[in-house]
Amino acid sequence: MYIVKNKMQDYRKIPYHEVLENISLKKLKKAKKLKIYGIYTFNPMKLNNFLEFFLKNKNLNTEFCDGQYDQLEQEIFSGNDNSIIQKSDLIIIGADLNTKLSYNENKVDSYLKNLRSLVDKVLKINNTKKNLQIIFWNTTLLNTVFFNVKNFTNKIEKKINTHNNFLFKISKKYKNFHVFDVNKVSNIVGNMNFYDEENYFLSKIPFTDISHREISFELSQLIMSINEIPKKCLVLDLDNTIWGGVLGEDGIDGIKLGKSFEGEKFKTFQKYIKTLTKRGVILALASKNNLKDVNECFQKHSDMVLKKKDFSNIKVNWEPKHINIDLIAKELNIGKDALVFFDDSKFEREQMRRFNPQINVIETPKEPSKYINALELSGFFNQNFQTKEDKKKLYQYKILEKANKLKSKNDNVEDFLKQLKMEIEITKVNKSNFDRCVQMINKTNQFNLKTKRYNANELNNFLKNKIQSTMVIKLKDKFGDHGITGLVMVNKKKDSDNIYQIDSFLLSCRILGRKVEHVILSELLQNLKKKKIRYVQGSYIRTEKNSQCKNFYLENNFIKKDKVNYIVDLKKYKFKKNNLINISYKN
Amino acid sequence: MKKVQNNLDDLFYLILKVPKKKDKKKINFNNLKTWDSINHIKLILAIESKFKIRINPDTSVKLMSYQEIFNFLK
Repeated sequence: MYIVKNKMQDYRKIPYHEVLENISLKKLKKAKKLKIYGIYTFNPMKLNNFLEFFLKNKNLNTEFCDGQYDQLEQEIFSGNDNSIIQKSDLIIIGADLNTKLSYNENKVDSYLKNLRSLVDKVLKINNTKKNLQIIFWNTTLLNTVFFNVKNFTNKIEKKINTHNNFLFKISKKYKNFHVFDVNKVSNIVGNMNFYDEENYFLSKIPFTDISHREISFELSQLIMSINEIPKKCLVLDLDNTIWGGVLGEDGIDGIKLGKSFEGEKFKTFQKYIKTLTKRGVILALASKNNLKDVNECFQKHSDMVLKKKDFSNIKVNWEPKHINIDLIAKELNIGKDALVFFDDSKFEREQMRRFNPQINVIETPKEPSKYINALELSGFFNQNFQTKEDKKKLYQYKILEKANKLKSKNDNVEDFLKQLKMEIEITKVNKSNFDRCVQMINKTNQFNLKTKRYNANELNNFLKNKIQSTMVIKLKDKFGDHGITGLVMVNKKKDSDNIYQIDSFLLSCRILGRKVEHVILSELLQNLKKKKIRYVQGSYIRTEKNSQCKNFYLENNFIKKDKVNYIVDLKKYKFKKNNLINISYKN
Repeated sequence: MKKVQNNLDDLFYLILKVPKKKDKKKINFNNLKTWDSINHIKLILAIESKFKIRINPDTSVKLMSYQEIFNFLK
């Protein structure tokens, strides 16, 4: 849904002139700006207008720079001047087979070959420009008149499919190379409605109005999934959200869930939510109900797809929801901006927006059969890439909650930590944990002393350096395996022989509050001492989110050198005894 | 009539930056700097969307002045 002229509208119904009006208004304040360099085989004017509109609605300003019409290769690679690329954040390369070939099937081979060499060239830009993202359109099937010529059409389709598969393989290999599945869009729109032949010859705009909307909408979703960290937690209401009716009034047998056509809508919605958990989304409940009724419903209703154990945090009470959601964020130890709130009541949504503006609120449609659509279109849970760790997370947050409960029973923290029977396994950054390391470097906010971000290339460069050392931390305790949750990177300080500096020190917030950080620092210092290093320097760079570790170095007897730097002399350093955690090394 | 004119003036302001109150009778493709081929296409597309009509390419190449567009729409 989009707000145009203060009215909510379905994106499929927004007329072009209103899009133009909207984007001619002032740019958003405080929003990130994305510079997009588009290279197309057709006239992208209308496409860009729609794209700008959708991204603006998602709180992202854009600046477009388009290449010359139909000059794919010349544009990027002919001259030495690639200043446009250096200034861009994102390159979109869209080649349309059908308009390009204008029904000349004999050229399919050479055309696809050209595209492939283009991919190689694009990947070479990688080396010259940091943090550049690339979106490459895949190829639609041929919109040919030879539908019935079996062998001929088959052959060409095979070639196109091979090409598209090749692109997906590349996108798996390179983290900043993304494939835009325009083929899927043409399926959604329908081949018959995809191209606008009549206007193409005059304007070189090949697509129909409806294609433009769908393409640019999907493209905006892809861009958002690249640029934004996916949201972590979905907070759900109960009544009229995961079942129909009001439990407190209608009773377990009276609510609509399964059995009738109305009940099926809600049951399907529950099934969808369940698949979200498999993408790594954490679920929480915020509902005004009696907990006893709700528990009974979870236990006894035979059509409940979601079980109580699917929810990592449950707040069923009569407190205002914006207060409950604060607690959810606190107890799950995640930032409020990673929460998504889904509630059928307009009142609750408004209240949430007003009192807790950081929370992402989904504009819920009145018709329950459209709930899934609303969640999908929000794009909040579009995962760009999913690591093994993501899948584990749900489980881990539950562990954390269990541990927190136990904590409240134990007054003595040391005793509590001892009985957790924590075990740490330390390895270096290697092939099997590389993805996870890059992800952590870019996602960890709270316990991150410098918040220095590295992309895959940069991390590789760091590792190539001879005088460096890394510690990848894996934590287990009696509740389960937390997986890889910490990373420390050190290297030698330039122009000095005996000073090492801590380049990165970060821990996932899931394992904080267990003194793990102190044990790891002490372990690191001992290792460096064994290497006969005398001085170690650490820095704390303040960000909006990492205030909790601001005294970390002081607490560990480092001496403040200046505003950001702390230093320690290992010759004089008194190591604390570690009797909390078992440490082992693995190569 | 008045409504057609207002709507068209809106689009001329939005796309070609011609002030709404300006007399546009003599404005055409050749004497207005902002009216280039790209903006012409944009203008036609916006007219299609605002007036909920479809203009075929043969017609759209003939609509090269404010007056011609206005006559076509009314």
